[in-house]
Amino acid sequence: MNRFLKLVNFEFSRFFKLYLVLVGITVLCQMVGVIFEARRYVGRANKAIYEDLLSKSDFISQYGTMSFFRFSETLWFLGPIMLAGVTLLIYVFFIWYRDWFGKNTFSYRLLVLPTARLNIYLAKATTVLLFVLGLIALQLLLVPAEMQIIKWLVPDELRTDFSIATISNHYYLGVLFPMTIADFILIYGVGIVAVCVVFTGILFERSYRLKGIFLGILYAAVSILVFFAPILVNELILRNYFYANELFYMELGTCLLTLAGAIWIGNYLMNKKIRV
Amino acid sequence: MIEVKDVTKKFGRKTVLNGVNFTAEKGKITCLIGINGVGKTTIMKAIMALTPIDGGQILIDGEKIHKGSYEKITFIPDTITMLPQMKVHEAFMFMADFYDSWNQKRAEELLEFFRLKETDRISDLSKGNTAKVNLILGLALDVDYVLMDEPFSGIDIFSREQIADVFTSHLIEDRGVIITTHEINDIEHLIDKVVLLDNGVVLREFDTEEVRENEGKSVIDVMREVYRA
Amino acid sequence: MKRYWKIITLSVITVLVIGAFYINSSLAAENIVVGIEKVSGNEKEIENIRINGDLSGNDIHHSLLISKDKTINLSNQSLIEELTRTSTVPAYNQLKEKYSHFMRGKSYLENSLYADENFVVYVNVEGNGNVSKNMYFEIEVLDVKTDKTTSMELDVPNDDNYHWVEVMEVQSINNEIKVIARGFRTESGEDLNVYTIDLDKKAVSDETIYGSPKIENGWSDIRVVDEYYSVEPKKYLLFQVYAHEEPAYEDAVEMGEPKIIEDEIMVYNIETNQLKKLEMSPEERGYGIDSFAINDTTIYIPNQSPNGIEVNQYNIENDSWGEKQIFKVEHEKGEHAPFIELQNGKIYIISSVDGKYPLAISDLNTGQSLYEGTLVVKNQKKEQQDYKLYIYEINN
Repeated sequence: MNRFLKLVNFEFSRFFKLYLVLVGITVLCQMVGVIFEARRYVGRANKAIYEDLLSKSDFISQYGTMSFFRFSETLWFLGPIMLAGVTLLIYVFFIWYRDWFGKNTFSYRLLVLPTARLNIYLAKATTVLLFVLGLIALQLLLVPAEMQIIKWLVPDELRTDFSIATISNHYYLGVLFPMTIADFILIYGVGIVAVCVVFTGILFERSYRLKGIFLGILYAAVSILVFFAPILVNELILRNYFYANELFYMELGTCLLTLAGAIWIGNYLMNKKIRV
Repeated sequence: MIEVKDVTKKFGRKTVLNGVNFTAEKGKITCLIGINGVGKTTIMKAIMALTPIDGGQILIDGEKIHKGSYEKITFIPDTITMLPQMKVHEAFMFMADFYDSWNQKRAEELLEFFRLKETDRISDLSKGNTAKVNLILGLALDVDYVLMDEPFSGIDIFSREQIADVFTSHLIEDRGVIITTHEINDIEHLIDKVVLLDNGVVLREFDTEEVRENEGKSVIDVMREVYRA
Repeated sequence: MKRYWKIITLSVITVLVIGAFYINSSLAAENIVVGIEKVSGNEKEIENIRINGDLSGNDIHHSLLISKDKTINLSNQSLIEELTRTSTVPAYNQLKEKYSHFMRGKSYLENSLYADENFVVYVNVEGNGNVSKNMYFEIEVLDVKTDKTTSMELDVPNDDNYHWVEVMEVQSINNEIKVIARGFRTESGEDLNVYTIDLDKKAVSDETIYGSPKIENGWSDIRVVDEYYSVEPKKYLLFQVYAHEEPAYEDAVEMGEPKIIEDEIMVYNIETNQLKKLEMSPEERGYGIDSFAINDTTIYIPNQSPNGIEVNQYNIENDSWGEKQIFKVEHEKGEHAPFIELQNGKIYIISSVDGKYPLAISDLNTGQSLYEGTLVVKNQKKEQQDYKLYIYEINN
């Protein structure tokens, strides 16, 4: 456990600088963006009302009110989120390949540590999870701040305020910030399973090189099939024999099965088949 | 004792190791000799479980390798295996973090011996100094076995002498060492055992002292004999 | 320990922030509650009522299922709730609870189900849209008392005439299964057919109740008054036959109105196979056949009147028109029309006045008011003040 935590800290420290950059970009972009968008809205409203002599209510029925959700659809808000998403996606691969293709093959060092090799795998997965959740927490801190800025910059009548909890209802935001803690564990749990499947696929490549790419892709395909097996079987073969809640529990089962498979196979590859 | 028994390994269709058999005892310096590409590095990696083998068995003190084995055996490859942006003291801290057998005092002694500084960044070091730090990372561990892959390759003469000095010191005394090198001259007088490899098998495994006494031959003499045969 | 401050800080902040968000979410509980406040009448009338409505405004839209004691916000369900929910339809859920094994695989086909104390019957047409295959009935009958299921597949007779056969109603009368289905003819038009299934003989006999006319250039169909979600025994079926011919075109300009070839409303007695035409003028039809309701042996036809709704009654067995009942409705002009539903011999009216939503339940036969109340959006947040409630369905 001790060495595992040290490995997590080690992986964490390696990525930390880039992580801070992502945090900085997000804060900057969203803060500048919310101020810009709020002012722009008020500017447009002022022009319509005082120059074009539109009534306030007419302006609102034409353009709508300013609200956090309006801002959340702009690139100012979405850009950093997409950037972070792409970065983390690349990092899932980079976190492994860096150890082989970096200037000094660090994989030698990792693989001869007096610790179960599985700890390396789990430490990398934990680090990815930690970074994802950290960014989620960051966003959860920024949202109320952005809402407050809108409150300050836009007059009451032109504004619609929402409570923070409502972001769970709004399109894609509800995927990142689901409504209940159970949903949260479900969504991010499935995310971790996906990361582990990718990890094990990468290990196939690192163990068998060219042949490994095909094996890795094949493995990933099989994992996806296993994961969706209850739904596929229920719909294609059994003609919807199972009820939705039964299907849900079966899916939970195959989800855990897929995770166990990824970790078990990953462990096997790391111990018996991997090469530096 | 490290026992390599009947080890076979293929790379694609090419059979690199075709039943390699030898042992390396504790307290002795064993040298693997063979042409480039014969599989010396592969054997070392196989002992460290850094590459899988297709057949045969490798035992360290009678056991198959497991995670605890890495406190007993270490591998010093021909390139440094630490993050380039680390400073030397950070590398030491990393080793101290993970290895119970890390001997910080000895690391500092060696650092002084090689006249290097803790605050040096690994990526800034010259090739010779990098090799020295690499050595320290291996030798400062209180392990029973040390595997060294081409410790002298591409190193200037003076650094080579320094490294050769380490071999005579207490740092190597009780340990089992497996070394591969082309520069036999530098350490011929230190080697206890020689394993000659060719075509994936061991052609001859012999004790240098014995052969010198009984056959009156040096290591190079034996090599000439075996390889020209 | 000091070395680890970065990761510890990040982890602690992450846990605290995410934890706080979810504690806040569960406390804030975006729970919209629409209560039904009684003004007069018998509360038993709303005991099992289920009202579907939308509360919307400002581009936000909540789909609500309102009942006497609670309001379910269908737009605000957690992911897990959505994934594990099978249906919100009570008739289906009751069947699922009682006969969970039999009901497997039958989620979306309420038209195909029939249930009484002795049997649960399921009949559906398979092979629709499949050019090479024949259409056949997939039949499953559960004997409630013995808990045994009989299943069989029987070919749909004369299926060559149709490219699609859609089951509209399944009834079991006198140990015969009657399946009323709409056949879409390969040439134009539709047939309303009754298929009588004899389980013992494993035979299907078919009879066309009515066929809509064949129209070259225009529209021809049969519209069945569909009581959604009803799996109960029924005596009568109400349907409309409609066909018109498109006017001639000259230079892509329409010349005249479409010519109506047929437009009749018919009542079909499922037990006796008898057909009767309902003689009504277009004005008397009111809102159209979809608003008609059958209860037992009476057809109720609602129509707009100056202050409210007038409902005409037609007794099928006596072939007589009963007393017209008038139900007053107060409703704000400019709002969408008040919600009216005729069900089980009662009329439900929900209107919108001054931001309030009065609910009135009256007896269709006597015209008497059974219950009067108001739908009130409780705990309405400040930002939701301008929201409007729009009702679109009632089940009781």
